[in-house]
Amino acid sequence: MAAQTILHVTDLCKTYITNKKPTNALRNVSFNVDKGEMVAIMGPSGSGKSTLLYTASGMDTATSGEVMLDGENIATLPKKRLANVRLEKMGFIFQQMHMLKNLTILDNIILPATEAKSKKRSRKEIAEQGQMLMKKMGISEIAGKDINEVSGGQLQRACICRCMINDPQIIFADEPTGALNRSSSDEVMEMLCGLNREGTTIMMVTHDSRIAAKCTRVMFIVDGEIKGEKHLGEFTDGSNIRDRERTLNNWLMEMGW
Amino acid sequence: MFFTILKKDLKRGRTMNTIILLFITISVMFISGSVNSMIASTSSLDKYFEKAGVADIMCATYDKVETQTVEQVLEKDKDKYSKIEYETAFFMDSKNITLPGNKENGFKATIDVMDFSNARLTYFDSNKNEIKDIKEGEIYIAQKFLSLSDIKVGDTLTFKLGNVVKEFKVKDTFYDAVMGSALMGNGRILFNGEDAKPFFEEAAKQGLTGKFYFIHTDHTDDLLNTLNESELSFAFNGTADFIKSSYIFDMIVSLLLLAVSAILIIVALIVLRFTISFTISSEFREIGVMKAIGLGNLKIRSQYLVKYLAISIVGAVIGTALSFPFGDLLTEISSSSIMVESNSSVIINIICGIAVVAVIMLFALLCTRKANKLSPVDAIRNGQTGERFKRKGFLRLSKSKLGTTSFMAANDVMSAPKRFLIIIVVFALTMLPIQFLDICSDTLNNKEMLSLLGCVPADASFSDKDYSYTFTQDGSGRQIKTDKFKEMEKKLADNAMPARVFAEEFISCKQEFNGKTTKQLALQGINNKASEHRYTKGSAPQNKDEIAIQPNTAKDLGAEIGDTITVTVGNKKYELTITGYYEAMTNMGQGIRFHEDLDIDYNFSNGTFAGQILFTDDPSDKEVEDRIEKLKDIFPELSDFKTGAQQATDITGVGPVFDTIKVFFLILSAAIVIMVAVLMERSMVIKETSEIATMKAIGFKDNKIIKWHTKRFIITAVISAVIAGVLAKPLSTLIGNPIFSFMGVKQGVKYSMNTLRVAVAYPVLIMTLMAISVWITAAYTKRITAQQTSSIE
Repeated sequence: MAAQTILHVTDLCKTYITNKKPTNALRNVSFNVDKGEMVAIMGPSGSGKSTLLYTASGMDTATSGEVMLDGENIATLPKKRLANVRLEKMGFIFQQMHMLKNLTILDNIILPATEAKSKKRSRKEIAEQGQMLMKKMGISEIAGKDINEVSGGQLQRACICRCMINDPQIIFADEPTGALNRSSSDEVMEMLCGLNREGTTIMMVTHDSRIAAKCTRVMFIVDGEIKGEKHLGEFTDGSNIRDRERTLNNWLMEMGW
Repeated sequence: MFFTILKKDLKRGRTMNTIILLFITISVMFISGSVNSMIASTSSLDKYFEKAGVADIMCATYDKVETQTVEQVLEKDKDKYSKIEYETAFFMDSKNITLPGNKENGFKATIDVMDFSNARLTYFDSNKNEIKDIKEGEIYIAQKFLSLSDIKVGDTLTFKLGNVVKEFKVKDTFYDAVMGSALMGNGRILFNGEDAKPFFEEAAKQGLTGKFYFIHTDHTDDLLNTLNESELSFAFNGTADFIKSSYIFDMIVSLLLLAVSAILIIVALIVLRFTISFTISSEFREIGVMKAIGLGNLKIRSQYLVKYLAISIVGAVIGTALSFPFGDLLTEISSSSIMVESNSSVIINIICGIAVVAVIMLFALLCTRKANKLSPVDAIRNGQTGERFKRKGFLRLSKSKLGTTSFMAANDVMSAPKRFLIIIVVFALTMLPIQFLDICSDTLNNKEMLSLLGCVPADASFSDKDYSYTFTQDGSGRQIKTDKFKEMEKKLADNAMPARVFAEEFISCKQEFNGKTTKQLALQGINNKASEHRYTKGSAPQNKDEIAIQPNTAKDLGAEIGDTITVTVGNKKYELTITGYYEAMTNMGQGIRFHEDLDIDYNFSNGTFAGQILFTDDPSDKEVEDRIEKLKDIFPELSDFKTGAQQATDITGVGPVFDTIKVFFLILSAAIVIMVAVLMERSMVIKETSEIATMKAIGFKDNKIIKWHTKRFIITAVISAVIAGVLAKPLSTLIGNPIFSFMGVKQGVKYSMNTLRVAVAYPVLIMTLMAISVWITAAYTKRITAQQTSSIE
């Protein structure tokens, strides 16, 4: 059975104008992400990997091109509809664990669910789902805590819970482990891989090959263009991680990184 | 470096800096303007009296009842005064002075017409120039008279007294030092001597002529005592100080403006504190970085101080420049009846400007201490050092039934009570002055106020020419009037309007006790009882040998309840026992009240405010208004029918001034609310950019974010409205009591509050303005994109 494409990006361009001088951050980027894939975008600093993630996820507007998510071109959607897409079809994980400081961890997690009208869940059901997700992520004990009372790793796992609360079709993650120590980083990646194994599509930016090695596919971007991609296959457990990392590093070296 | 940072900061925070600049400008403008206005109202009064040649003692007598002249009375004290002068006058009912088309002029009191050829005071026209001459056919009318009537300069007025009818053109207004204050009831007109002659002849026939005496002396107390002990009957007598005190309402208005300026400064400081605090907490990263590279606290703080110094100086310069015309405007509003020389003093305005800058800088110095607490770690930990964990609000979204935006708004207010308390205080401070003014205005314009003016709070009042003069200045006036009232009661009952008709008569008399003498007006009810009035201590006079007394008069006599004092009316002496105290603002809290059965010679009556009607079937206010219309048909011989509230308004005469100030404050409060709302919302948007971006990233729509922000302010405004609503009456009592106390009412002022206006209309208006301002300002969040989650600006 052919894999179902969830994200279809065609000729995506992003140009910044600085002091009347255009800088092409993305140049005619095209790619697909299939359902259930876990795709990593890698590249040197300034290569356009974050720009690609933000533009492909609709967080930023594209200069031109098409981004089809679940049959809708999010590059041209009106603001209201785009907000709905963010709310109900995608999740986003930031490098810095952005949460609202006046809400508890649980309230932060369930916040998007209270706005998702199509799901028609009661506040109680939403709270139960939030608690279930926290349990799954191993952070149920911090539900009532404030965001400055927990560790970075716990906070990032809470962010993952938040982006999962509306059962998104795809999760975008911008260096989700970038602000974490190795131990927390491993925990967060374990959670993401677990979600992916359960069928959630994930597209993430990382500069860490150890993290990228856990993805099914890696795209390499330089100067706003995708120079190549490497299929690593499904990452089932930790036994072959060293081989995957070595394979990836060799490929990255071939790509000139 | 400072100027580079300053330039960048001024550009970046354009809106916020502009609003702070506006606040400082308005504060300087108000403080300078109101200090000048206050100084003008107090010092100008002395200068005004001096220029007008106001004497040390003034008294007014009626020729008809005068058996001696003032000179004759003071003959034995000849060495105690330097000069006695008098001006001649005749008295007219205001409704005998009509506008073209026989239209009434709208003024509701007696008019004293002065013969300018006999003028002893110096009178000034509206341009503050001395009036040297009045041409035939022209008249000058007092400022107060003009402001309380429908007359305009240039109008042609018809004067009718008996058979004498003549038209006059209103040349201009004049400043009337003696009778010009709001508390002095009569209006005055200056006539050319030739024009005045036929009127004086007719007035003399009717017994409507009198004299205003001016006694120049250094022995005020002695001479006043001699006058009081004499047989003379005064329409009015008092010292220059007493007349100055009648300008209390002008002082009150200036004081109120000063109070508002103080509130403005407080609001400006609160706003400044809020802004500095927000700026510093939102610039934690820059401050952290500066500390990391080795800049000291003072150096870091100085960049903020330089900015606020620059804004303060610019604001102070603009504010000082504007304070000159503004100060004159304030004086015009607050002291329209006092002739004030060009009042704005350059030095005072500059001192006020410097003082405001100094206070703001001191405040900025204190507020920027917050920067000391930030460390380099803040630069890398988003302003959180991780050392202090403080639990936020107790609300939980998971358990709340509120909608998301309502919950977030309520939760924010609960989580940062200190921040929102500032907004609550500012909104409450802007609401309270309007509410206070409204309560004062309502209290003064309420029929209950009649009890503090020596009358029974009745439903309606009326007047007529015969009633005002002939009836009251006739020995049989009391009986004629009682009969008339009884006849009116019967007619009213026949017309299905059961009512009592009565009046309070002012009677000239002298009071003596233990060698002390006072000469205060007495009140006696016609067709009503002394027991119908309120008493603050003791009880009402129960028989004709008893009286009630105002505490001030009792104090002057050294008498107390239970003492028997001697009261002389004309030639007749009465021994009357004091049974109770009552308080009334008439004659600045001086006077006595006779029992209704005491037989008095009404030749010594000074008239009454009006006849009063109290419906006994308790009709609604609307029904009273309808009945007043019917009364005009039933009693065509009577006039000036009005409600009890209108009667109180006309007697106090300060309603229009209060209404003007109220509108002025309302506009000012609206402007402050808009500026504060815009400034604070803008500050919050800047500080919460990251959170707003996060919300957008997780799918919140623009209008939800705007709603969230607006609801926060609505919650605070509702809390402010509740606080202001609760405090409005106690605060009015606290501020109002000393004012009423000065006028003789130390207890018993029943403050009247229009709940709908004070507790609903004003707060709703303020809240609406605030909500609109916040909504429009919050629309700026539309420009924040989801990817700005890491923004620190």
